[in-house]
Amino acid sequence: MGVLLLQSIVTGFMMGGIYGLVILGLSITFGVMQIMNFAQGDFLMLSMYATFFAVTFFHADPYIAIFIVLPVMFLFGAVLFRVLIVHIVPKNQMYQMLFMMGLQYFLQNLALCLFSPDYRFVTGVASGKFINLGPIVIEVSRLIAFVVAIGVTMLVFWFLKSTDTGRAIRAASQDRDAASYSGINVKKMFIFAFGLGVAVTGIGGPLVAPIVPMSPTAGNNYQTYALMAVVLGGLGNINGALISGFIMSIALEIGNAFLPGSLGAVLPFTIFIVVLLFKPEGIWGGKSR
Amino acid sequence: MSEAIKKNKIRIAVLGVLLVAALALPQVVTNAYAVQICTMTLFFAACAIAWNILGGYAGQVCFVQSLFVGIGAYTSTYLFVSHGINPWIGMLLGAGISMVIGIGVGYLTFRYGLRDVFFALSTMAMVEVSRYIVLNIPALGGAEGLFIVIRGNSLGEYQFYDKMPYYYIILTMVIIYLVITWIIHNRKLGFYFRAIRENENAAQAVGIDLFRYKMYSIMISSVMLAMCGTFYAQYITYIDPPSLLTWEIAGQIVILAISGGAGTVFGPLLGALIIYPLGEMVRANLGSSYAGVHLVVYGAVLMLVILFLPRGFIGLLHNNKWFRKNVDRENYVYDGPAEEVAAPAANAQPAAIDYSDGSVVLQVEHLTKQFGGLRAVGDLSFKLYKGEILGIIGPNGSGKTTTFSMISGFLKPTEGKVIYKGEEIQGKHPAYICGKGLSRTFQIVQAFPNLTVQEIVMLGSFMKYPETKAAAAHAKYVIERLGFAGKEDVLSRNLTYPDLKRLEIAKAMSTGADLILLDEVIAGLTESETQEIVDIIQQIRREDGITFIIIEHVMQAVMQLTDRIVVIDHGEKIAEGLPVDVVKNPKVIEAYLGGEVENV
Amino acid sequence: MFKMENVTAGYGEVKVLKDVTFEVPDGQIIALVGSNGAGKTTITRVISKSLKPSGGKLIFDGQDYTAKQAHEVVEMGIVQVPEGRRLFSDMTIYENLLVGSTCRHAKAEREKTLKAIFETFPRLEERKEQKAKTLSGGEQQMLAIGRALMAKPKMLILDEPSLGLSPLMVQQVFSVVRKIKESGMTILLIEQNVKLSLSLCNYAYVLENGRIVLQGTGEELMDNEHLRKAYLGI
Repeated sequence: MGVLLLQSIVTGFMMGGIYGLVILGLSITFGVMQIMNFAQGDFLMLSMYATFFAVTFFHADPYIAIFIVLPVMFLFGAVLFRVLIVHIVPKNQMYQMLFMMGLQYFLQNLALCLFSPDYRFVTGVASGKFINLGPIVIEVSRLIAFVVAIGVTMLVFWFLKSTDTGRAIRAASQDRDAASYSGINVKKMFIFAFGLGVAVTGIGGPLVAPIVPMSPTAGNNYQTYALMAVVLGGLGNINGALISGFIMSIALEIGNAFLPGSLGAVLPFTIFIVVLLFKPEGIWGGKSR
Repeated sequence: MSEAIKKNKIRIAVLGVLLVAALALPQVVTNAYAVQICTMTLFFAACAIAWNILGGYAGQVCFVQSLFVGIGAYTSTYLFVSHGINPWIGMLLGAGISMVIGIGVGYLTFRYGLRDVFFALSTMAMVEVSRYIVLNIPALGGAEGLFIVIRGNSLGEYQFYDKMPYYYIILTMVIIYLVITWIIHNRKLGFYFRAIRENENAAQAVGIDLFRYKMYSIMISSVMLAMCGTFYAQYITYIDPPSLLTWEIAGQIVILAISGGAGTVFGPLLGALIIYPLGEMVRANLGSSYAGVHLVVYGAVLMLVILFLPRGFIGLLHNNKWFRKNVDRENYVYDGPAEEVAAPAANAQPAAIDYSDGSVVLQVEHLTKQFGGLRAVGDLSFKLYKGEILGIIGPNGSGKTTTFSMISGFLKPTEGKVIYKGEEIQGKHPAYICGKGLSRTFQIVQAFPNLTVQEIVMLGSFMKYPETKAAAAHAKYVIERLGFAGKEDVLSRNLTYPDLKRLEIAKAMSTGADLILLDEVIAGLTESETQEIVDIIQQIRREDGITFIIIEHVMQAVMQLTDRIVVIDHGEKIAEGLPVDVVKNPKVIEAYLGGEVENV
Repeated sequence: MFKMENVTAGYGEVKVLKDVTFEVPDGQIIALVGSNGAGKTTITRVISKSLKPSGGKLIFDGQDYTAKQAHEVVEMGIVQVPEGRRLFSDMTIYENLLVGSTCRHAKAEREKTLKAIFETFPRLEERKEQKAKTLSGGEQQMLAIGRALMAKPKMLILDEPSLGLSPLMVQQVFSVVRKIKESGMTILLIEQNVKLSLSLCNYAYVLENGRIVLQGTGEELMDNEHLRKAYLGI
C-alpha cells in the first residue's frame, strides 16, 4: 500500500513534468492573447509525429531529433498565428475558444487521415531501461523526459524574466497599449510568443515518443489536463498552473493505482470540478476576473 | 385566423413545401444508406436544436449535452434490456432524470457564476467523469455497452424491423423541437435568453434574474437532449460510453449549431442539413483510405464560419430582404398600435418639490465601498425627493459610478444603507431592485448589439407586461416617447451615438421604473443633441412623474436639468445644494479647476 | 516640432475629435485642457498612433508620420505617459524601466538613462525589485514618467499626471514635470488641474466637445470667462 502510493506519486510527479510543457505552452499563448487554446495537445501530437519522421529519415535518436523538431514547431506556430489566429485575436473569448476547437478537430483528424490511427513507436537510447530505488522502479526514459522538461521550463522562465524579448512578451501580455507606447512591436511579439508556446510544447514530442505509443489522439489527455491545470492555477498564473499540473498528474496516478477499473481518471476531474465550483478564480488565482 | 394565413402565406407555403419534401424523401430515395444518412442528419439536427436553447439562445456554450443524450439513451435502454420496460416510458423517465441532473449541473455552475470558457470547461470535465463512471458500472454494460434486441415492430414498442419508421419519428421530433424553439423565440423567455447572451449586466439592469433564466434554459435543453438519446439507442440498437459520453460528440453538436447559426430558430437545423451530409459524403468517398476525414471538414467549416460568417449560414439567408420579410427573421417585428396611455395634461408643470415633508424616495446613509486598500466611496449620505432631478457631479474617478452601482445592486456596499421606498435594498440583486421600480443606465452603451430597438425596449416592458403583444405595445409607447418612431427595427449596433444614449433611457423607462439613474447620457453629444435629450428628460419627469439621479460632466446640461446637486470628490461628499450655489462653492471650484499649489 | 493638422478621429459611430489643429514647438511645454469627455485622451491616442485618425495629418520634425505604427512613433521620439499610468503591474520597477527602453537608440544608452532616472527618483531605486503594483499612487506616476524617459523621447506627452493623487503628491509630480521642462524637453501636458497646468505652460489650447475652442498663453486663458463656463457651466 505504502509502496504503491509512493510509486504512484513518483510516476505522477515525473509525468507532471511533461504536462508542464503543455501547460507552459498553453500559459504563454493564453497569457499573451487570452486565447483558451484547445489545440495545444495536438501540437504535442504533431511534434511526436515530427519526431517519428525525423527518427525514420535521419536515423537519429529521438533526443537528437529535438534539434530538428524544435525549430520546425516554432515555425509552425509562428506561421499558424500569422496566417490564421491573428484574425481571431479581436473576437470574444467564446468565439476564440470555438475557433481553437475547430482547429483541434482539423489538426487531429488531418493527422488521422495522413498518419492512420495505428500506433507508432520510437525507441531511444534509454528505452527499456529501469532504475530501482529500493522498492520504487523508475523508467529511464521517463526520468530523462522529466529532467529535460524541468530544464526547459526553467530556461523559459529565465527567458521571460531576464531577456529583453521575454520582458517585452510579458509587457505586451499585461497591457498591449502601454507596451506599444514603450516602443514594443506588439504584433511581432505575439507571433513570436505563439511560436514559442508551440515550440515549448513541441519539445514534449521527442521526450514522450519513446515512452508512450503515438496516435492522432495522443494529445487529448495532455490537452484536457493542461487546460484544467491552467484554470485551476488561476488564469495567467504560470506557477499556479504548473503546480496544478503536478497535482492532477499525481492524482491520476494515485487514482489509477487505488480505484477499480478505469475510474482512476475520475479523480483529477473531480478535483477540477470541485475547486472550480467553490473557488472559480482558481487555487492560486486572485480575484481579478 | 384567415388574416394570419393571408399575412403569412409565403411562409406557410415555404414551410409546407419543405415538410412535403421531408415526408416524401425516404419514399423517393429508397437506398437504405441514403435513408440512414437522412435519419442521422435529423438526429444531429434534433440535438443541435435542443442544445441551441441553452448554448445558442441563452449563450451558455458548453459540452454537457453528451451527458444529457447519454442519460436518455442509457435510461431507456437499461430499463428495456433489464426490466422490459417500454422505451417510450423509458424516454420519459430518462428525460426526467436528465432534467434533475441538468438542474444539478446548472445549480452548481450558475450559482457560483461560472461563465463562458469556465462553464464550458467544467461541463467538459463533467462529461469525462460520467464516461469513466459508466465504464465502470457493470449493470450498464461497462465498456461493452448495451445491446437492444428488436422484439417488436410497432410504434407503441418504439421498435421496427425496417429502418424507415425511425426516419419519421426523428422527423416528428425535429418538427416539435422547432415549434418549441419558435414559441420560446417569440415569448418573454426567448427575449430574456437572448438578453442574457448579449450582455449579462445589462440584462440584470432591465430586471432579468440571470440564475433563474439560465436554469430554465438548461432544464429545457436537458429534457430535449435526453429524448434524442433514447431515439439514438432505439435506432442504432447499441450504446457504449465512447460513442455517446465524450466531449468530442458534444463538440460536433456545437459545431453544427454554431455553423448553422446559434440563437436562431432554423440555424441549427440548417447547420445539420449542410454539414452532416457533407461530412458523410466526404467520408464515403475518402473515408476508406482516410479515416476521420469527415471531422477535418467539421473543423474547417467551424473555423471558416467563425472567420467569415459570425451569424452562421442562416445569417446569409437573413441578410436577404425577401427572406427576412416573408419567411424567417431573427428579430421580432411589431406592427400594432402603441399602448393607449392617458394623454398628459397640456403644459403640466412639475409638481413643486417639497423638501420638508416625508416624500423621500431614496435615502442613502453612510454608504461606503472599499476596494482592497482603496476607498472608492466613503460615508456618503443624501436624500432624494419624489419628482426631483438630482445631479451627482465630481471629477474623474471620484466614485460616482461606484455609488450608482451600489444603489442599483451591482456592487455590495462595504458599509451603509440604501433605503428605497422604505425598504433597505443594499446588497439585493439588481433584478430585484429593478422589479421594485429602480432602474439604471450604463456609460458603455450598445448593451445588446444584435437586438433591435423594439426588442431592447420590450425587454424592460416584460417586467410589467409578461405577454408578448402587450409588452410590444408598451415598448412602442416608450419608443415613440423617446423619438425612435421609424427606427424600431434597427439593430442597436447600427444606431448612431445619440440614438444609443436615448435608447439607454428608453430601456430604463420601459421597466416601468419610477426612479431612474442616468450615468452620463449626455457626454459626447453635440450641443443640439444635448438640448434634445435635456428636453426629453424634462418632459418625462413632467408627464410620467419619474424621479432621476444623473451623473454628468457636461455642466451646462447639469445646470439646466437638476434641482439639486451633490458634489463628490475622492468618494466623499464635499458639497450639496442648489446648482447655482454649488458652482460658487470654493471647495467645488478647487476640485474641478485644481487648487493653488504652492512651491511648484 | 510636432504638428497636428485637421485631425478627425473617433470610435465607430462616435466622432470624438473634429478637425483639431495645434502644434507643440521644440523645447516648449504646451497644455491641453478641457472637461472630461472633451477628447483629450483621444488626442494622445491619435498622436501615439494607437488610434488611427479618420482624417488629417500628424507631423513630427517635418515628417508626415500619419501612416506609422505605434511602436515606430516611439522610435521617432514621441513617448507618452498614459492616463492612469498603465504600468506593467506584475513586473518589477526595474523591469518596467527596462521595457521602457525597448527601441534601438534607447537601448544603447540604457545604463546611462537608468542612472539619471534613479538620481531623479531615488525612491524607485530603493524599491527597484518590488512589483509595480505595490507602489503608492504618486510613486506609480513617477515610475510611469521614468519608464517613458527610458525611451529617450524628444517629445513627452503627459496625460493626466495628477489624476487620483493627493495634493501633496500632485506637488511632487509637478516639481518633476518642471525639472523635465528645465532640461529642455518638449512637453505636451494634458491635465484636469487647469490652474496648475496654465501656470506651467508656454501656451495652451482649450478643447471642448472635440474641438479647439480657445488658445493663448496661460495668463490670457486664466482670466477667460469662457473657460470657467466650459468647466462649471456658469
